[in-house]
Amino acid sequence: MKITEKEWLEDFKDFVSSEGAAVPQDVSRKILRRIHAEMNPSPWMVFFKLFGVHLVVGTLSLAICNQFGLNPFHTGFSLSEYFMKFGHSACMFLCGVLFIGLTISLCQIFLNRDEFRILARNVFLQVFGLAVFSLVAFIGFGAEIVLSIGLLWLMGAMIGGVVTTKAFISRPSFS
Amino acid sequence: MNGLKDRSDEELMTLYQGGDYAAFECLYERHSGRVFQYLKGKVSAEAAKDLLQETFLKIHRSRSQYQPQYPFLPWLFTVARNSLNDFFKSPDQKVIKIGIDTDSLPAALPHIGSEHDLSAALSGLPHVQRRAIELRYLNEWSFEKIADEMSTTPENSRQIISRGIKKMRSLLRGGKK
Repeated sequence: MKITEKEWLEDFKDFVSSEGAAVPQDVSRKILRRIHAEMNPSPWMVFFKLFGVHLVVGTLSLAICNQFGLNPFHTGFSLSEYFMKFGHSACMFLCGVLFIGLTISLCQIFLNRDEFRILARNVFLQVFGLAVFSLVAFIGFGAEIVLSIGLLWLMGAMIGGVVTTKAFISRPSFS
Repeated sequence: MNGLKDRSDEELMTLYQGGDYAAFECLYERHSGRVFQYLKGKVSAEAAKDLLQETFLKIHRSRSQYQPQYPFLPWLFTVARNSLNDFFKSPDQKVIKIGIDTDSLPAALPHIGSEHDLSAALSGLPHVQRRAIELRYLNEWSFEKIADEMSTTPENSRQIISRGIKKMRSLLRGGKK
């Protein structure tokens, strides 16, 4: 409804000076329960959402950085070639960082603030779950992973995931 | 929660923005009655319950846009008003239109009391109802023209006037006791 500034002020004065009516308890309960649920999404739900994003982003990322030689897109370019300049161990570590870090970065689009807060609260467990699932999937698709190399990749993935999450949540705009 | 009660609305909003549910609960306890009363003055009690929920959900979803350096109450009021505007524009309003007996609307304001009584009753109405009644009975506008002026549907303008008259009647009756 179009109103003038004066009308708005009058209406606002009425609003401020009113003592307030008793809100029916069932209405208050419904509102508070709903907000509580929205502010505290289940960590499992957050993980499944994260997993869904990772499935797409992780797969697409293989086009620019193959993992353990896996690249379903057969692109000629791979960042791992650059990482290899720092040695094989560094390459594995950086590939892990990139693989999970990219997912967490793009998750900011798909998760709302409350979900991201839950992710941050359980970041080690959530990222660990994601990284282990990824490693199992790589093995399933035929990658041969030596324990020491796998552990380096896992460490990179953990650091990439945790650092990206913490960096996002500590931004002043995230409040 | 006890410590929260001493905090200002703006401080509570900052905590709420940071994910503190108790801060929201405190804000809700502090202001839900005021919002509910405001909405009840504009729409039916049943619709006011829905709009109260809508208002607080809007606050929740847009809480990141609130800037704590500005006072909280005008923001809350603006959100409540927007919910009300959305409600008046909503096609769901058709549900409420059913059952409005437009023939029961009097052709003129009821002569229950003196001019002074009427004017007092009129001033006791919420702004929207008062304006609609004035346009209808003092300016003798059609419902279509009123609807156009108030950016709503003709059916809604009838409804607003109908409620206003009912409220005036009860105010006049109350005043005579």
